[in-house]
Amino acid sequence: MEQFFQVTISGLATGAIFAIAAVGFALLWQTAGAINFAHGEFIMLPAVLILIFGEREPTLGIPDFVPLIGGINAGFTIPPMGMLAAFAVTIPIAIFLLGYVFKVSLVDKLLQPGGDDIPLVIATIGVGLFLREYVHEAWIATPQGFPSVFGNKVWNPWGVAISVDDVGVIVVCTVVIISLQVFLRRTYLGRQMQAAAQNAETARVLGIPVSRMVLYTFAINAVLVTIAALLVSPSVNARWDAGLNLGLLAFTAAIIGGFNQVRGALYGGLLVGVLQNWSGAYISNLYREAGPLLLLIFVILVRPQGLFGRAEERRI
Amino acid sequence: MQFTSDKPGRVLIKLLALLATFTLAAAACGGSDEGDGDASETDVTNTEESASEDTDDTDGDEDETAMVECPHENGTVFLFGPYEANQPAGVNWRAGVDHAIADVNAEGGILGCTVEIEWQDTQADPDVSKQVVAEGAEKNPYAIIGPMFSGSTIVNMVEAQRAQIPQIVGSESPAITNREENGDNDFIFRTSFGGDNSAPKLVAYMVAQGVEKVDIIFKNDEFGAGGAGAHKDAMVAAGIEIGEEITVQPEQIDLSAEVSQLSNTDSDAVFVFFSEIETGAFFSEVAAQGFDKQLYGADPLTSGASIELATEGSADGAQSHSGVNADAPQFTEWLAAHEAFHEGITGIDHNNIKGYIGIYVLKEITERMGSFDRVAFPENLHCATITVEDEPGVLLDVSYDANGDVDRESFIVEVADGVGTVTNSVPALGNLSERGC
Repeated sequence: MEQFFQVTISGLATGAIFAIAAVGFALLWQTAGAINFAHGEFIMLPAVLILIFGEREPTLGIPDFVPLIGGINAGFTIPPMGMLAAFAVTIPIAIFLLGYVFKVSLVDKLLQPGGDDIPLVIATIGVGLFLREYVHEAWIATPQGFPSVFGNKVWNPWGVAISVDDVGVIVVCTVVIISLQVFLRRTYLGRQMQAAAQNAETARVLGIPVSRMVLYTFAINAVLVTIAALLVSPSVNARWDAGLNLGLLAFTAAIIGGFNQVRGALYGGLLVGVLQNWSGAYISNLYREAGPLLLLIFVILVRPQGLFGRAEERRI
Repeated sequence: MQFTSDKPGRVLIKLLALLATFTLAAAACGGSDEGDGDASETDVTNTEESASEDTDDTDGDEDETAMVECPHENGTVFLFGPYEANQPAGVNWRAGVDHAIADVNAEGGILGCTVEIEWQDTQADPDVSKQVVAEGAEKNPYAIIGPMFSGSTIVNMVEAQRAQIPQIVGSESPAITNREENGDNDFIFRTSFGGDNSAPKLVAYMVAQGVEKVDIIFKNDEFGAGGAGAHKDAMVAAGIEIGEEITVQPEQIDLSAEVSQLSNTDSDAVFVFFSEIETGAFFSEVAAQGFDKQLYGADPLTSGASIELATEGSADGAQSHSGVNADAPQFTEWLAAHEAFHEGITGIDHNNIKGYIGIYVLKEITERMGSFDRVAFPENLHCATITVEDEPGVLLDVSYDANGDVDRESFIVEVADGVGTVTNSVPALGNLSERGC
């Protein structure tokens, strides 16, 4: 029984990682009608930046004239600032690069209200590839250890080992996702954002600044991926290809939970994490990935809107 | 006999035409038959004829270095280096090789030729590695230096074998040098122990530590399954009982279920056979679950790269058998030079040393042959012994068996305060006569 609880709790912690990653998929779909297949890389990039600012002398293959990141080449170095301070510094950079630049350069050009999603989907696959290879070439190809902001303390209630990092990840993910859900459903701004995604023309008629709402969505997503990077990286390390598998599992979790519900991402993520561990522990490790994928197939066949999603109709 | 005035011209033209025809025919049949005519082609050719010719040519030379023409343009010898740029093992291997090449070139190169290498990333993907090595072989290198991952090597070494190019690798899976499994490959050589040569040394140590029952956890790929299998066989032969056998997927980061499973067995110890990424995750989970059984393993268990990826202090107490180890006193001088060469380098481990040694093995055997003869290389390295007196760059005396496996002194390493520390040295097996020599 102890093993069951151990496996389940660890699965919940891993699942919370998938959930915080999956919420980005749900958010962009729910509020901008966009699917971003570079989402895993959007988590990987802030992780690299946090590690560089937090623990390393900064160098990212960026020209000398960029003062902070290229500083080492400009003849001075900035001292490591610690992970939390680095997290705070990374947020505005992420909002600018992964929010504003991404929206203006790609989304505005490729995503037309009521139009085809495919160009943006393909473009984001390309963005993901570019980000992976850029970090691979410009920074470092090997995985880098990433310290947990919660520490390494372990509790042992009833013989089950629970690390403070696991608890921290579960709590932060849950709070963030519930807050986001409340924001979207209960606040005027959140409802405006959803309205802009559901019917841009009607939203404009109602006086909602659609373009600004979409920008807010991408800015919030950039903050979310930075939070995800801070929580996820102690497990997956800061590495150029971390986003590949993470993005795939997060996408799976979002579909299982319900692509059009932020809370669906939470449930889907937790379900995937626990299923992985149960499959590995009680069937065979060879079937570790198979459990969630079987569930994914089942959900697509039986309940395409996801276990916790809402059926949608689209006029075409 | 008198000739009319235009006859000599006609004869000359006919002779020139005949000569041109012969030259073209010889070129079409492969220039190697002309032997010494073009060293840049013949010295690295893979025909038996040229091999014997080259060997004959060098027999009588007083000063071989001065007489040997370099096999590639501009006085160079070209090597090809497939490696895993996304893995600590691959990056460290490359760091060791680059350091050795710089040292060799500073000493005058190999037989007076400057060593050059072209690196290609295999992405730790066997299919990619096969393609990379196939393309590398077409560039006519004197040798292929790498890769590290056994799963890649087992797939790509057939390309080097087909092109008759010596391949020196850092891989440790037993299958790589098993002639029944590797297609009787003469061209493959290790730089450290295969699992089957390493296992008896570690198992003897475990028996001496009083271990009676062991669980085994390993990565489910060529490296992990091959190494774990070899160690399991050695443990069974030594009378150690085997408990749970658990597999882990490559790069699996959540090992909570597996560690929990290991916690609930009655074994004395756990034998761990992962690469660095899984080892780091395993240590972190072991610490998180308060797991306290003794951990034994191979080089990656105590390597700097693994320890860097684990939570602080979680690797302490782990013990491994290490073919070469940067913390052994024998490598102190080399370690300082390596750190000076790669300023700011971290996570130096056995793979850096393996890469370094590989180049010096290539150099020593080539200089013994006195020529860049790819076909003659295997027969000269098989069953050869290279001492540090012969070539200081090999760092430790090393012998090769008839399959390309190495034998030499090795080490038991324990992690203390986050650093792998050598606690014992283990003598060479010294059983080359039982291994085809």
